[in-house]
Amino acid sequence: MSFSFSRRDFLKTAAALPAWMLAPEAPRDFLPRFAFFSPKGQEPRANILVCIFLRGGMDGLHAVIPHGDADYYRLRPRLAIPEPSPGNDRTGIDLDGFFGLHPSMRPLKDLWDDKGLAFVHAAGSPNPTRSHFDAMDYMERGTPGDKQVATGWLARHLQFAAHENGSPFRVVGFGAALPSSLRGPIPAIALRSIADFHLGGRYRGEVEQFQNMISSMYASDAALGERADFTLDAVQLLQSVVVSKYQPANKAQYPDSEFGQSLMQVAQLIKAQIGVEVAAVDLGGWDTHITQGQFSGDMPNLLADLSAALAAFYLDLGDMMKRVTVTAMSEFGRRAIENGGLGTDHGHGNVMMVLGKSINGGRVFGQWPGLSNEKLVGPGDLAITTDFRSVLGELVSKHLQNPFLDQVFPNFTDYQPLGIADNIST
Amino acid sequence: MKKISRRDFLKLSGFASTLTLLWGCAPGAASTAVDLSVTLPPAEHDLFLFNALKRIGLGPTPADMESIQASGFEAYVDSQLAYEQIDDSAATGRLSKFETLNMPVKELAALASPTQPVFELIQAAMIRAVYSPRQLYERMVQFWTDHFNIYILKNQVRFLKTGDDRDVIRPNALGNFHSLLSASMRSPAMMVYLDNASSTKDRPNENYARELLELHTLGVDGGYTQEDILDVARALTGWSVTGRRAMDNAGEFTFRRYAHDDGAKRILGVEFPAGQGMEDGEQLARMLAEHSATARFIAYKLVRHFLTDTPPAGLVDKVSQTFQSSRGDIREVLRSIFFSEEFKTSLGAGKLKKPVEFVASAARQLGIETEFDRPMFRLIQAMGQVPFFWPAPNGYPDVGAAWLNTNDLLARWNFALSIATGSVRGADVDLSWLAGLPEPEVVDELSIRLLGFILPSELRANVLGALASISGVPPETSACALLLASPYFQYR
Repeated sequence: MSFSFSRRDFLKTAAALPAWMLAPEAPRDFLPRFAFFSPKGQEPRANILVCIFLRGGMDGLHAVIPHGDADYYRLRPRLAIPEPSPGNDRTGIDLDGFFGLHPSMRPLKDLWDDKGLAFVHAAGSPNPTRSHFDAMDYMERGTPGDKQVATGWLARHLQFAAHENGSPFRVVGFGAALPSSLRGPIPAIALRSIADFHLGGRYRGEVEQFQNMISSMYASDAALGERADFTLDAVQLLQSVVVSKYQPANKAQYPDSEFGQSLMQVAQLIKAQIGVEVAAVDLGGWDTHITQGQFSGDMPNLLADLSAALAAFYLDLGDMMKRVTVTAMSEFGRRAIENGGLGTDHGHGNVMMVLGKSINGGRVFGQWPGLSNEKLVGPGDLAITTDFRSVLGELVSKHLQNPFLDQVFPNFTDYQPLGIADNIST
Repeated sequence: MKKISRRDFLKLSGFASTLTLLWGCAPGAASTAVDLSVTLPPAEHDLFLFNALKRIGLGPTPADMESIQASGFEAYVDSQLAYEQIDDSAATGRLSKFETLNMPVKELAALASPTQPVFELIQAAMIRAVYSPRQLYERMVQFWTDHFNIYILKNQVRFLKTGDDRDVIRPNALGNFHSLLSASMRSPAMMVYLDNASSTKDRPNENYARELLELHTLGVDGGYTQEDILDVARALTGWSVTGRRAMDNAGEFTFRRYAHDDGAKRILGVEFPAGQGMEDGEQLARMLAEHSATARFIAYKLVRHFLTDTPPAGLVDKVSQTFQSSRGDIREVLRSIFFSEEFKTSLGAGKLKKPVEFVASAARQLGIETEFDRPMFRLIQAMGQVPFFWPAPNGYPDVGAAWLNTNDLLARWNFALSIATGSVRGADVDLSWLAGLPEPEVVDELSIRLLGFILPSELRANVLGALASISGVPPETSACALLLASPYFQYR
């Protein structure tokens, strides 16, 4: 049975319903069963992917440390995290006898033990560029070395996904601008704050007439018209379903950072069941050329923020994490050897993260190439043994059940799934 | 070159296409939306000049229009290029209360409030954009600020950026590119932001070296290799900042000979002999400033800034040649852009305003009185373009696609509603010049002031209909909000 309500149909109906009826706490019996709403007692059809981009080149060797590799300590005499030693919080947190977490990532240890967290090490984009902007661009297009493909990989996934979903909230990017992974024919919401996502600004008067007039003025503009309509629809829908004061479940505590608050709002949108399938969130600041910080400082602070926010999200969503998967990536890793400023320069291979309750967690996937001089590539960087598209491709095909991998990652002939998403039930 | 009158311009581009351009539709997709029954603007109101002003400056005021109509297009451009001769007291008078702008770096470092220089610099940037009659100059300051972007919230940059703005960007914005580049290479803020301050011969730091080639000069496709980056980093070892560890003496440029790698280098195929010391960096600056890839990259970015998101290759070539033949004379380069046929035919078509341009044009064209303190800051922040807040070294994006999204549109509409209704503390709009006029006149006067033309008849009728139905605010307020929020006002 297939519902294919258009976005407009939905909005017309939703607007006619009182807000309490569409609010998350409303008794589900009264909810209309749109394609993207959960019919009573059943899981909604589309699984959800939350994609986190760590901008600036996250140092995967400082986050998930290869404490079993002696070369790691040789290359980073002043920066390396000592081998795990239980009870000593200035050492790594052991994962599997070879890899360990930076101590600032302690909040993620519970997820690891719960088998809700997996890593892929020595992963990344095969293109050798060490330019932030090219590397990000290639990764977000999903086409290393090719700038001819104009759309982003997440946008192409949505374009070719098999199911119906007319919600304007199908894909949401957090921040003032949209990440280029979302650039494509399916319009994406750019959202900074749910609380501010309404028309009126500081004006407290009646805005309905303004809204109608804005809509009519934009109707004739070729470039902006559709975007304006879409924006007004989204504002209207969000107002009808989202309560202003959000209370996370299970006493989850999100950090007060912009990233923490963004992830909390992703959780809020997912729970509001307004058809979110893909959310993209950025966390920047990883370009740690100097004083990146061994135990404290810039990078440990970022790792702590990232870990606390992810742990809160996992706790808040509870069993919904069976159909929500989170992945985190960065444009490249950093040089294996530390530099003179107690930092690291641009590198190549890196670690990727996958979180969820239907993944094959509690494992570090991928083949470790080693850090001996002859194994390093380019100016002295971790080699890549897993193409990032193999990781994302597995999530697309198994978790999101999109069979058109060749459309999502065109010209990618070396797809080798690692078994991260094997536990996902369809 | 001969002067171009409005009549010539209409002949040049054809009547219908002029209207098409006017309505701000994308070229090629536009003809459907054009309403040919439109009333033309009053004859003395020269649309070509109005549209030219939207590109040259940050929003045409009635005074700008008078000035360009009196002098003609080319003389106006030349007078804007000779910016030193334009009295700037309208802006500088408003800046006197910001004590950090002229402070030496020692005093800046010692300030009790670590954020005072940050907020004063942001306010000053907005105030200059809005109130300075040196409009082209201020636009170029914005351009170079993004080209040599420095994130103001990184460590000591919060007090060092004041000096970068004052001593690097502003004195060279309409000067010579080599001078600008050399000044930037000595900028303590840049040295700290991109970590060259701590780059030493034992462990050269590649961060600045890479962005110097990729973003400041050659461009990412400029033909350099990873080996070139390493040798550029080596050439610049020792270019640093005083007292980085001892904060009391922070922030002057210094060359640390003991940290400099004095071995031979090879950069872009050119030999840098051993033992050159600081001359390594000087030679590098000359070489990069004169390189054809640099000329092309800067030409491309400038044409994109002043004309269109998809720069025509022919003009980029021409401008690039001017860049080389004039040895990086920025005024000559700008002349070759403004006096090109491509510039004239591009006018009116969709170059989306960035949020700061949108805010500045609203403030200028409506004569808003504001010091850009917190409430205005918040509105700009909601649009995502606080000056100096872009964290990455590539600067705020200069193409419409980067800004055109739900967040941006909504924030612009909310700005329009907030500002027109007088809901923003510390930002006063005076619409009394329209009070009491019949509603059609209110709409026409405001359309001419903000858009440079009278609305197409059907839309004009709709707006008038809306004014009648919006209760609680005077018609001039509603009309102002609607026109600021309109698609026409989003383009420059």
